[in-house]
Amino acid sequence: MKQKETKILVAIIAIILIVGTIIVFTKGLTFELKYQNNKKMEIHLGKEFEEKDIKEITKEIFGEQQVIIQPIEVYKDAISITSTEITEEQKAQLLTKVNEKYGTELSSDNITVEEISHIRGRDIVKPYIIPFTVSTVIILAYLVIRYNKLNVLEVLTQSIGIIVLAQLVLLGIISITRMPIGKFTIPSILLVYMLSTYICTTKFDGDLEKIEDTKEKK
Amino acid sequence: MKKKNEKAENKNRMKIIKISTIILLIVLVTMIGFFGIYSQNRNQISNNVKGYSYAMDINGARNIKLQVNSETTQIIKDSQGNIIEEATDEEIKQNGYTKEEVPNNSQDVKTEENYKKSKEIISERLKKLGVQYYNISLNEKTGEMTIEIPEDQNTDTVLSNFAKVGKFEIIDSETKEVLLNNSNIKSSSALYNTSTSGTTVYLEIAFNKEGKKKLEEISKTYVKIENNTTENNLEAGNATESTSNVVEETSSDEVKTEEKKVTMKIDDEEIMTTNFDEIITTGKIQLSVGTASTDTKTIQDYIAQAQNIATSLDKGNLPIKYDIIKNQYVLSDITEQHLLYIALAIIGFVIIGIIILIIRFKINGLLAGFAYIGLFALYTLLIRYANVVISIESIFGIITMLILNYIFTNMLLKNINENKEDIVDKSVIKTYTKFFNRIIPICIMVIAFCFVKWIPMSSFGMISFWGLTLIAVYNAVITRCLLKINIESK
Repeated sequence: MKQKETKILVAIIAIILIVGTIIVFTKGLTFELKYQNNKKMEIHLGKEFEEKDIKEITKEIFGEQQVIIQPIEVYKDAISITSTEITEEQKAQLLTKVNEKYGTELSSDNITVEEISHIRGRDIVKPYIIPFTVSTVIILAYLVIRYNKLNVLEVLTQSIGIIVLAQLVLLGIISITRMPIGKFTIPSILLVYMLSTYICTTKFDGDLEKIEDTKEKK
Repeated sequence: MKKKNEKAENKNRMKIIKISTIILLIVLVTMIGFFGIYSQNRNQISNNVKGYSYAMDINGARNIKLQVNSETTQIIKDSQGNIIEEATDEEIKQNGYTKEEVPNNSQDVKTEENYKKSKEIISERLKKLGVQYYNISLNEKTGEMTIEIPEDQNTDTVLSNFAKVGKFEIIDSETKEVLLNNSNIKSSSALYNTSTSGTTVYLEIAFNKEGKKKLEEISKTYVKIENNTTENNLEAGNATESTSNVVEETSSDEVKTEEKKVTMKIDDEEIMTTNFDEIITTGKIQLSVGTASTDTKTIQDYIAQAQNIATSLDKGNLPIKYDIIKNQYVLSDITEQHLLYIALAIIGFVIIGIIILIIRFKINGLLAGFAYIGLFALYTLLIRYANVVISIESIFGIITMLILNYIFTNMLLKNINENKEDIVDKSVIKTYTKFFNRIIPICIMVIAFCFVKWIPMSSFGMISFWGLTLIAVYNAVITRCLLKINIESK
C-alpha cells in the first residue's frame, strides 16, 4: 500500500516537473505588473471614490490587461492606475467614464502617462541570498552530524535533493497554474523550504528506525 | 454498587465541567482574537484589542520619483579659464570675466553605468539610514528612478538627504585648492557627547590611509598658533570660530602674518571655514551639529541630521545630480478585503483539517480541534502584542506554523491511539521529543531569519518564532489537559 502511494506521488511529481518545464520553455513564466515595464497614470478626483467603481471602469476599458489600482494619500481622493500599456485612447475613455461617474471635469491634457521601469528580479532576490545560504549550510551540517549513523554523503545529497526538488515542484506548479511571479513567490518559496527540511528529518528518522529494527531482529 | 455508580457519575460530571471550562476559555480567546473587545468611548465604539502593524507591501509605501537634473548653473570664468567664486557685474566688466551656463549633469556623466552606480549608492544609503524594506526601479535609458520606502515617522528624515550628491571637499579658503575629498573618506558617523551644558551631537568623518596623511599635513599647515602680542609686534590672529593660522614671514624688523584657513563644503554648500587647534594624527575630524541641548527632540533631530550627512558621505557621492519630482504616499493594492479573503481561506482549511481529525480520532479529534482553534486565536493576539510586523511573507509564516501545529496534533493523537493504556503524559512527551527533534532545522532557519535586517524576512522569522513557542507551550498546557481529562477520567 505504502509502495503504491509512493509510486503515485512520484508520478505526480514527475508530471508536474515535465508539464511545468514544457510550459516554461514554450509559454515562459508570467510576471506581476511591478516586475515588468509598465505605464502609470494618476487621477486627482478631488473627492472620495469607491475602488469598486474604478475597478469596473478599468475592466471595461482595459479588458484582460493586468491593472493595479492604488489610492494615493490617506484622503483617498486621488488614484493611481498602472497597467502594461495605457494608450491615449484608453486614457481618454477612462477619463470620460470617471467624469461621468463622479461629475468631475478632468481633461486628458492635464494627465500624463508615466513610464515605470520594472523592479529587477535580482534586486528582489538579493536580500534573501545570504540568509538562505547561511541557514542552508548550518542545516546541512546539522543533518550530517545528527544522522551520522546513516551514510554521510547520502544524507547530504538526499537533503539537497529534497530541498531542490521541492522548489522545482513549486516552480512547476507556478508555471502550470500561470500564477504570476511576484509578491507571493518568495513567501511560497520560504514555506516550501521550511516544509522540505521537515520532510528531510522525517525521512532520515524513518531510515534510522529501519536500521535499528534490523539490528534488533539480528 | 450504588456508591460505585454514584462515584462514576460524579467523575463523569467533573470531567464534563472541566472540559466545558477549558472549551469556554478557548471560545473566549477565540472571540477576542478574531473579533476583539469593543467598548464605547465618546460616542464611538472602538476595539480595545491592539491592531496589527503592517509592512510596506500591505500598508502602502512612500513613492519617490527621482529624475536626472537638467538644470544649468551659471559660472564665472576669468580670461585664463579659472572659475571665479563670486563677482559683481561691475567686476566682471572690469576684469573681463565671462559668464557661462554649465549643465549640472554633463552629457558625459549621463551614462547607463552612472545610473546603475547611483542606484547602488542610493540603495546603500537607504540601508545605512535604517530602511529595512525598499524597492528601487531604474530606467537605464533615462536614469529615472522610482523608489518605494515604508511610511513611518522616519520617512521624511530619510528623504531629506538621501538623494543628495554627497560631494565632500575641504579646500583652501584662499586658493580654492581641493585638499581632501570623498575619495579620502573611509567612513562617517553620528556621535554624541553629554556634558553639564547638555548633549552635543557630532558628525565624525574618518579618513582612509591617504586621507589620514593628508589631514595630518593640512592640520600642520593650517594649525592655529597661539601668538598674541609678541616681541616682534606680531598681529594676533583673530580668534573667531575659525581661529586663524599665522604664517610668519620674517623680515629684518617686522613680521608679516598670513591667515590660512580651510573651507569645508558638502554639496558645494559651505559648512564652515576654520583651522585646526592641533595637529590631527588620528585621521578623524569631528564637527558639532547644532548646539548642546537638553531637549530630547532637539537632540534626536540633530542626530538624524548628522546621520543623514554621514550617510551621504559614507557611501560615496552620486555621479549624477538628481531631483525629487514626486513624493507621495500610495496605498497598497492589497486591500482589507483581500486580507479578509486570505483569512477566510485559512479558516476554511483549518475547518477541513479539524473535520479530518474528528473522523480519524472521534472525541479526541474534536477536543484537539477545539484546542487547535484556540491556538490559532491566541497566535493572532500574540503577534499583535509582540509587535510583529505583518508582511506577505509573515502571512505565509502563519500558514507554515498552522501546518506544523496540525502535524503535531496529528502525531499526538496517533501516539495516544497507539498507547492503549491511559498514558497521555507519556504520549505527549514522546510526541514532543519526536516533533521538536524533527523541526530543529526549521528552528535554525527561524532564528537566522529573525536577525536579518530585511523586514519581509525578519517578520517571517519573528512570526515563526512566536508560532513555534506557542506550539510548544500551548499544547503542553491546553491540548494535553483536554485530552488527559477526556482519556484518563474514563
